[in-house]
This record gives sequence, C-alpha cells and structure tokens, in this order.
Amino acid sequence: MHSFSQDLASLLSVNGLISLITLSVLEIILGIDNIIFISIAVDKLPREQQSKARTIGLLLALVVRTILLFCIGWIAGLKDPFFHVGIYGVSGKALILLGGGIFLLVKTWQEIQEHIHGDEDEIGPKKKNNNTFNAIIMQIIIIDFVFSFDSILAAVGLSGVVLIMVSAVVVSMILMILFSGLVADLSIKTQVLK
Amino acid sequence: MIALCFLLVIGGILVAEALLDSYNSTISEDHHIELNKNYAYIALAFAMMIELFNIKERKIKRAKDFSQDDKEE
Repeated sequence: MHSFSQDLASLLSVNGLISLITLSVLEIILGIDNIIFISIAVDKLPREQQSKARTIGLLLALVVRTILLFCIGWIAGLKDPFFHVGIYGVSGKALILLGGGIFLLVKTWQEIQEHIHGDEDEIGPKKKNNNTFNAIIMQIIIIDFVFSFDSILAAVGLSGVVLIMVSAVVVSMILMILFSGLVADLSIKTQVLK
Repeated sequence: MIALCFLLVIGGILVAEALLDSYNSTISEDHHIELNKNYAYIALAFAMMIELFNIKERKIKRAKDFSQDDKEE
C-alpha cells in the first residue's frame, strides 16, 4: 500500500495526471447508465424535489465509490468463490452483479409496463404514495452500489494509486452532477427518456 | 422509453457478467471469457442516433403543420 506522500507524488507526475484524465473519462462513461437510472427514478417525484434527489443520488454514488476504493482488498477478495453450484463457483462479485442485474430488469420492466398501460389505468393516490423521496433515494443507493462495483474494478485495473482513483471519482462525479441536469432537461424537452 | 430499453440491456449485461464470472471459475485463467460490451454500446449508440433522427423529424413536421395552419387562417 502506498503512503499518502508517495500517492501525492504519483498524482502530480505527468503519468499521474494522464492517468487521472483517462480514469475520469472512463468513470464518466461507466457512470452514464447510473445517471440514466437516477434521472428516471427521480422523474416520479414532484418537480421541486427532483433536482435535490438527483444531486443526493450522485453524491451517494460518490460516497459509495470512495468507500469501495478504500476497501479494495475486500473487493478483490469478492472474486474468490463463496460457494459452488455444481461445478460453478459463485463469487461475491457474481452475486452483486446478478442481484443488481435482476433488480434493474424487474424495475425497468415495471416502468415500461407503467408507461404502456399508464393511460388505461388510473394512477390512484395509493400508488403515488409508493414513490416517496426516501423510497426513491433507497432505490438509487442500491443501484449506485451495483454500478460503483463495476467502475471501481475498472479504476483498480487502470491505476493502482488510491489518491489518483479517488481524485478521478471526485472529478467525474462533479461533471456527472452537472451532466445529470442536462440529461433531465433533455428528458423534459424531447421526452426522449419517457 | 428508449432509456428504459437501455436499462433493460444494461440489466441483461450485468446478469450475463455474473453468469460468465461463475463459468470462468471452472476454467483456467488463460481461457477466461470476457464479455465484450462494445457490441452493446454500439447498438445503444445506434438506437440513440435513430431516436435523435425521429425527434428531428417530429420537430420539422410540427413546425410545418404550424406554418400550414397559419396560412389557412
């Protein structure tokens, strides 16, 4: 493990800065799906709460990614099988990806059904109450964790220096918070996300 | 709707990655199979391009309809 002064020297070198820029771009690309999910999830909230929920969602994504970066050893360990199903080893990484994938498929399918049958069925107040601020934030936290896992593994693959990885995550998250507003505006103007 | 369909694809990719990860545990590291997500990203970018064409087409059509209505009045 590098010490902080060694990490800082690595970050301020030419190679470190190139790594930082490359990793920031990579984090943004890997984070676009995260932004789309957050934009769709907060769309169910009243307009005045949407911006707040979007920013909280992305800040939570930043926190989750930073915590995971400091738990690199634990994440690396998740690649080892926890248990076996027949000859197939099931690792923690596989369980997280499988759980997140199924959650995303089910949630998205429900959203699509709601959009298709939205005009036919009356959306009563009971159904609307399910989309509270806290429930939406909870959904965002779950999906943040799944998407963070992927992006952290990419960061570890590209740069082993924790300070560069954390800086790249912070830079990309700041850009994503700004970009998230643009995605929402695009959604309102063109209805492309709906 | 297109973004929801994107999320379906991404969900499918996550499930496929989990299954591949389990499959890779049965074979040596040299023979590990990696999921090439580029194919999916190219398909998503192509779908997005078509959607943008549709948005542009609808916009032009709407502008034409408005100008025709104005002429009739």
